[in-house]
Amino acid sequence: MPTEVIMPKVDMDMAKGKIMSWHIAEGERVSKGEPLFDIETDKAAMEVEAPADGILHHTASEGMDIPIGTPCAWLYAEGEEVGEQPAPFAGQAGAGAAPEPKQVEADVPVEAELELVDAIAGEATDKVRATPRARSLASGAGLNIADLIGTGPRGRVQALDVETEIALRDTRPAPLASPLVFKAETGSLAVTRSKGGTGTPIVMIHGFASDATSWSPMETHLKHRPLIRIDLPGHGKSPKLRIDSFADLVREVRRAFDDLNLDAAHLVGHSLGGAVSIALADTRAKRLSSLTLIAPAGLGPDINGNALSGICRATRAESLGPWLRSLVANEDIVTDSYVRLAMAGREDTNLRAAQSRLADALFPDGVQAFDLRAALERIDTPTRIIWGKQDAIIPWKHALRAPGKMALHLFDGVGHMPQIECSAELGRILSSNL
Amino acid sequence: MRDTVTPNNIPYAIARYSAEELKDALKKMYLIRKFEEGAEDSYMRGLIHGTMHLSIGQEASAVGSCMSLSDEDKITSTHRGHGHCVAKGADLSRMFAEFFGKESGYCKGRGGSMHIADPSKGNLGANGIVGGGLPIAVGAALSAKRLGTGAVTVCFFGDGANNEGAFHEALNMASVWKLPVVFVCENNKYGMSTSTERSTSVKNIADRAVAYAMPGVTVDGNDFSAVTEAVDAAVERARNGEGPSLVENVTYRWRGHSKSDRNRYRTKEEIADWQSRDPIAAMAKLLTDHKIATEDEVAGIEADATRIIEEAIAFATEGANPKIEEVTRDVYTEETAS
Ligand SMILES: Cc1ncc(C[n+]2csc(CCOP(=O)(O)OP(=O)(O)O)c2C)c(N)n1
Ligand SMILES: [Mg+2]
Repeated sequence: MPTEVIMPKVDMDMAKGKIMSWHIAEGERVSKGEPLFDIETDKAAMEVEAPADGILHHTASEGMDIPIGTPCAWLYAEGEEVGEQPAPFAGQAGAGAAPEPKQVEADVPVEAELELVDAIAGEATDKVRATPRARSLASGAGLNIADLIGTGPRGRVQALDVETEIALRDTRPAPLASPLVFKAETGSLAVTRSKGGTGTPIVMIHGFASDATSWSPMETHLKHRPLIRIDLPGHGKSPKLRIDSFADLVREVRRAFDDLNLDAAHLVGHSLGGAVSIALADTRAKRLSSLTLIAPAGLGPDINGNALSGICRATRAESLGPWLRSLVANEDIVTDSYVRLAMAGREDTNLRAAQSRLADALFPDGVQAFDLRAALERIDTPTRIIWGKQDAIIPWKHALRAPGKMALHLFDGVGHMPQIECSAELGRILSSNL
Repeated sequence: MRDTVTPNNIPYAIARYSAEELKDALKKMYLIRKFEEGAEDSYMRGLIHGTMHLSIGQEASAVGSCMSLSDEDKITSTHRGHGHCVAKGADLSRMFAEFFGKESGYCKGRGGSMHIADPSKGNLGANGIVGGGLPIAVGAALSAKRLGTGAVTVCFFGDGANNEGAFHEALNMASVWKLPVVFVCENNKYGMSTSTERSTSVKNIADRAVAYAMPGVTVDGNDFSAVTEAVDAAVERARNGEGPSLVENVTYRWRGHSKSDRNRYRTKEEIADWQSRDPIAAMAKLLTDHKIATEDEVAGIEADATRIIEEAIAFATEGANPKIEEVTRDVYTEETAS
């Protein structure tokens, strides 16, 4: 009999948890005690370890809410026959059979019981907390309320959330439809890998004060390849490691890259991530099939220090907005709702502090304290450099310092974020080459 | 740290205790481990309310410290107290029933993990207040001294509690009045996420004893024999009317502070390192090395413990739930004060 992997209760008043990511794929083996999946509760995110040795099957999909104490996957012994999923997920929309209510009977706080009843009743939209106005707005806009992130009390979706989503949908270059599914790798930094794609993977390193999600406009154009996104230390979901120098930063990213054990990869880096990519290409030449640098740092001393520290300092959408707008040529694409969402991702004061410290170490007094021109000269990997001519953060003319063997793509009317500002064009350039 | 070996090279516990006593001690250590593993599983399934603190990895400290105590002797325990309960002879079925909120539990299902007491066994109770057991222990020791019962009180507390006022007041008063109490600090290196290095001004918590003119000793809390040797000597001293002592058992909790702990403040290597110093495996080896038990007997003891825990869980599962109409029962007395 397979071992149930249950959604564990990890908080006093937790009734259900959301599956954030699986650390291994279905059909892969795990040993008892190894990290198996990440969950998120109302209060915190948490790693859950495998309850037994076995081969993973029938996993609940990422993003699914599962009531505590009920299965979210099963572990099979070597050679054990894997048939139908032994039982439906308790949180599953339209789950045919109810999970055994006995498991939670009487000992569950009333609230949890109600949630479970909701879940058993099966109507997907019914278990989503949402205000009536949010529901009507969503249905009017053809959005599924279950896809929205609620910012109200206990995750309730509010009208504002729907409006934000609508605004975002209109500015997002790529349609929301079929977003790529990423799964987390284990290791010192947060690394996520897309589930689809074949051939040589594309490894992407974002820029300062950004994170892996900034690649999403590009992803649709590149999804024919496996996509691997690395969050820099102190960014996104990566730990807030102490980084005192550019060399420290490179060491951490190189370790994460080495942990991936890739024989070949296309490396794409933006801004600070571009600088890190140059350093990686300098030391990992054999493993790189190509290098793409988008507005990379490291090719000259100038950088817009005010914008960097302004972004780090901002604690509110009102103060973040002007700086975000300075990143792009056409300010209109940075809508208020986009800013609110960006601020929501920077709410963690420790994250902002870690980034301030990093900025101070790498860009003291608004100067790029590291110079990678010599490294760039040494690189023989086919390299293309992409820059927007209205870049107000790092002057595009730094691109002219690159050796002649590298290709240059310079875009008019584009600022520091070509991967967002002209993602379709960038997608075409990259996908025809990678 | 103290030498745990007697002059003729036999560990103290082996020389001091009978084979039956030692095997019983090993069984209690297994019972603690399996009780907590069972409780952890039930908690994750949502069968247990509130929060819960597991002492897996600290079993030698709990059992070793209670070896020379009778049911007349008292203990006070902590928020991480399941092991102390078991070491002092608690009924595992009633413990589980309490966790499950059943009428058959120690507090009729009203208290949960941090409120189990068993006065019939001399267990004055767990305590949700860090350091809360220290003044109680001093009070119990004072009453024993005044009544001349000869009982000794062992007071368990954590490294976190050693920086609380209650700790210093308790040690001072116990010393001034030469009370029959043994302060046993279970130094598991962290109070929640704060390491002792960051929280405590002295290197060893036992160093605090000097300030209160009592003996203080630091031992390997995962070494059953070392624990018994230190605590037994302190109990002896207390019984002889020579006053209190402080014993520091250096140990480690394998699990997080509670189930909500994300272990961000310590490394996996550190945890693995301590897991390789499993106090139960060490105790089993101690018994087999000295021909107190064969490996088969050890396996039998472990199997026994597994069965007892399964039965305890079954007992608790079957128990009656409290009735809503009786929610105020045992809360207000029906007798009016006269
Ligand atoms: C007076 C008081 N302060 C704070 C708390 C919250 N708290 C519960 S356990 C704990 C840590 C105690 O650490 P330690 O004494 O080392 O015991 P351990 O948890 O390591 O066994 C704290 C701070 C409390 N319960 N009581
Ligand atoms: Mg502690």
